Amino acid sequence: MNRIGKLVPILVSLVTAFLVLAGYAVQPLGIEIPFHRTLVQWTMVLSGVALLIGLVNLIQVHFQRIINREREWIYSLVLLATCAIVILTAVLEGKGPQGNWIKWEFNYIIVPLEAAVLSLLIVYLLFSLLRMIRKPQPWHGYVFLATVFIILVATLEVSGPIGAALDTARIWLQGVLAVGAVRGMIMGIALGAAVTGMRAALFRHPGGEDKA
Amino acid sequence: MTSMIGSLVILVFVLLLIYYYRTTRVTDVERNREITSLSQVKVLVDSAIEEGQRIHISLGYAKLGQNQSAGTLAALDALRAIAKRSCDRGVPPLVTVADPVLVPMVQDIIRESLVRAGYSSAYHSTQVEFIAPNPTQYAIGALQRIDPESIYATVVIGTIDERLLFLVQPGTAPVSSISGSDHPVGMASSYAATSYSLIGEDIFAASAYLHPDRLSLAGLKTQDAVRIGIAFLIVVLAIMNMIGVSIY
Repeated sequence: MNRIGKLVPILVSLVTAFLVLAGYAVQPLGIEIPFHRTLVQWTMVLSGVALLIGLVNLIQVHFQRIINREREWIYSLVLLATCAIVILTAVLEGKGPQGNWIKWEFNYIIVPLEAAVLSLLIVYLLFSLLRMIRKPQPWHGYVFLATVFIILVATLEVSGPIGAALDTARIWLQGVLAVGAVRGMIMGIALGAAVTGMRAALFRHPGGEDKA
Repeated sequence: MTSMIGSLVILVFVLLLIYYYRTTRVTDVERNREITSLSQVKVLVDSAIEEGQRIHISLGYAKLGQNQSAGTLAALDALRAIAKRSCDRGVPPLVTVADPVLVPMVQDIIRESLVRAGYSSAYHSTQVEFIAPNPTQYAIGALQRIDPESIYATVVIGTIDERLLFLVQPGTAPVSSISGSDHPVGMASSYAATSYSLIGEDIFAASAYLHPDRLSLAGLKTQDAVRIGIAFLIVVLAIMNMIGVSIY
């Protein structure tokens, strides 16, 4: 029974992966694989259900933190209260995310808070740079620092022959070296992504046991 | 035409993967180059257990079923390896996710690792936390969960951009961190902010290094074989272009 219990999800995922892959491969030839579109649509439905699971998990985690009086439990209380207010607003207004109150909450609370938080990134970037300067680095660390320095100084628009040289260096670094390096990395990532995707679809449950 | 070439490439990948799966041995991992950051992950996990603390693992903000699913799949593979090492001594990691689809998957990985190690009573569904689907809200929310009293280190693996800086907090972080991303900006941020970072395709090699099995190693060999093929093709095409032969 346990063996069947393990085999069924493996078979379902194998067949689904094959149908979806084959569906995309033969679509341009005008051939429609049965269930291909339905399976893709089911993904959307399952994502919706998963959001509910996520919400239950969120409530469970924060409720437990309040009950156990964990560190900064008050934030959990604020989170749950906010969650309840937003859901209640949407239900009372009856227009879902298109409702005026929900839009107001989004535009005047969430967006400004997010923008404020994102502005902190510059501080963290500065800390990163200082951390690199303070600590001994391998040779590639110094190349990284030198590149950052050249790009920063070159964007200051220094006049004269020094400015022109810096600008040429910046253009060469950004247009030749950086583009080449990024292309190389993206090729590696694409290969890794392809093999990982195939392993997950045809040989193994994501994060689980081998099907082979 | 493009889809047919795509199908052909997929077929080559699958055939190579099967070939290497059949010919690879787990001991082949010793032949791989050393990735210091991945060795350091093992050290961090072991040190955390000695200190009686947990590891926080962030799987980035990408969602399954979208363009960057592969980064998340690689992160899940790495998580499986870290969770196994950590749960073997009855200390499950704390995992934060931005995609609710991942919640039951990660719960399953942790539960299974604990059951196998004989610590089934140590499992609790709240060892996985869904923070928020929005990248910024996720990063800030996950940061709040890094309590230095109970968390020894943070490991970030997956798709994440400059928001990674919130999680690793360069210069001010109360806990150690190792990070890796398949996002170009995330990679640069990771390199600048942490002493140990996973660059480029390193995150896709994580499972083969952390908990080597035949399939993960076969995946690595497939990547290398295709990479050599592509490099050869680029050189041949460049030479052909230089001598005036164009196949476009």
